[in-house]
Amino acid sequence: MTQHERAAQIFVELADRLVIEFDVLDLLHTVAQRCVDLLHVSAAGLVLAGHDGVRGLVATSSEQPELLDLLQLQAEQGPGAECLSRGEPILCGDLGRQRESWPDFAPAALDAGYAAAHAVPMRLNGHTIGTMNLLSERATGLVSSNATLAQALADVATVGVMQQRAAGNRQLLADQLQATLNARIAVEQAKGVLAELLDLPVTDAFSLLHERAKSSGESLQSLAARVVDSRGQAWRSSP
Amino acid sequence: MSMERVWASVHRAARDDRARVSMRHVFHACLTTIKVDGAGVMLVSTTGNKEPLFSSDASSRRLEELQYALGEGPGHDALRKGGPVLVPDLTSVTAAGRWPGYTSAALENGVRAVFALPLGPDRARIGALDVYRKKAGALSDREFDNALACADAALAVALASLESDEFERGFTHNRAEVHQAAGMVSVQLGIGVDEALTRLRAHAYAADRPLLQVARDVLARTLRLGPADGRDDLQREEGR
Repeated sequence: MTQHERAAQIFVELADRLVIEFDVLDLLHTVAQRCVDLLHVSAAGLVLAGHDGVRGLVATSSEQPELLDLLQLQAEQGPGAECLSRGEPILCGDLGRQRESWPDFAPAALDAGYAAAHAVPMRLNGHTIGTMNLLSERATGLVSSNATLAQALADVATVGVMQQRAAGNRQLLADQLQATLNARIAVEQAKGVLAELLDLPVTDAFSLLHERAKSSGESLQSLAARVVDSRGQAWRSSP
Repeated sequence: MSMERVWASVHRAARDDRARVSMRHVFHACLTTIKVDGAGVMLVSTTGNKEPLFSSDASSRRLEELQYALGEGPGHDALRKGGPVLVPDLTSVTAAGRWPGYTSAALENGVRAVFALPLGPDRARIGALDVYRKKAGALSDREFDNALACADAALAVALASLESDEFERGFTHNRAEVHQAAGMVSVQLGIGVDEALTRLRAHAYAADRPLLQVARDVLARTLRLGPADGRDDLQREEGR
């Protein structure tokens, strides 16, 4: 199989994983592993940038502890950190020359047996959401075809992350909507319970409920649910 | 393609209305792209209340409420199974066997075909879209695709309804009095509120009256559900 065919096959595999219900971490792990297969690098790690500036290593091609440390370090200093701030690929074919620019990362990587390090941005709409970091034992740059391929892999990872965030946002809204529905139902039912119990119009029952919740510091929904569940007994027994 | 078609229809309706996108524009898209005569959306609470909140017209509203009152129908099944429930002809034996009460009531209301689609994927399934036809007939492939896209649009608009006052209006208009009445009946009969809801629904069905009217009578204290309102209650009385 030529490298081109292998690449095509891998993209089909990755696209299959981008169906509606997918595990984003699983996808990112696959991307990291395929980097090693396709780009002739020794290790790969995907780092996502949080809103608070925290950079988290979310997937790696191997779980070796030294490698994890090194990839995390690369997110703070070295090609990963620069790639994240500049939003463009940072390719370094010879770490030996970068001991001064990256005083922590370069020696650590060299000690661990890596000679080259690269980072490709995970970009969407001009915004860099993370980086795909690569480490190579051979002192060599990425040939341009591999750099293109690396960006394509990073793009797949980006789509996966954004899709998952959109789904998470929907889930959050759905939870809010159902919580509001629960609350509205409980409050209306409690109005009915109190109206009957105290022989009041429903609107007056709401005022009472509202005042009690306010003065006791209990949420309207929680008070309403207790009133409904106890058929009003909770109203009489509490102050 | 169907997604673009449906959203284009939704946006056109909103623009003609000079209003922000709301459920009635989704219903407009249902009517034009699925070629149906009416539509309704119910949302389910985490406590299992299937609340008919939105409808395109009075007839659809009646059908949505019927489904709620009877506790059966294509929308309930779509919600439960998480996939479309298509009933191209309500006079079929299958429909009558599956939802005996709902089927005859829907036919009496002039509906011949119902198609129900769940709103949301498995983990976030929050309701169902029902669309109604006055004439029998299956959905074409294109109409089916449009129906799926309409369900997706209905979900998006339902999720956004909290930010406008649309959710609140839907709930206040269609549901508030039913739940108030359930609270009253719960105290009157010394039963749980869910059972009170069941009693109200049973009364509406037996009296052949809309549930909302029954609820209003309870609230006005012109109707009081007696313990002898059904066989269940007689048994409960005897057991006391």
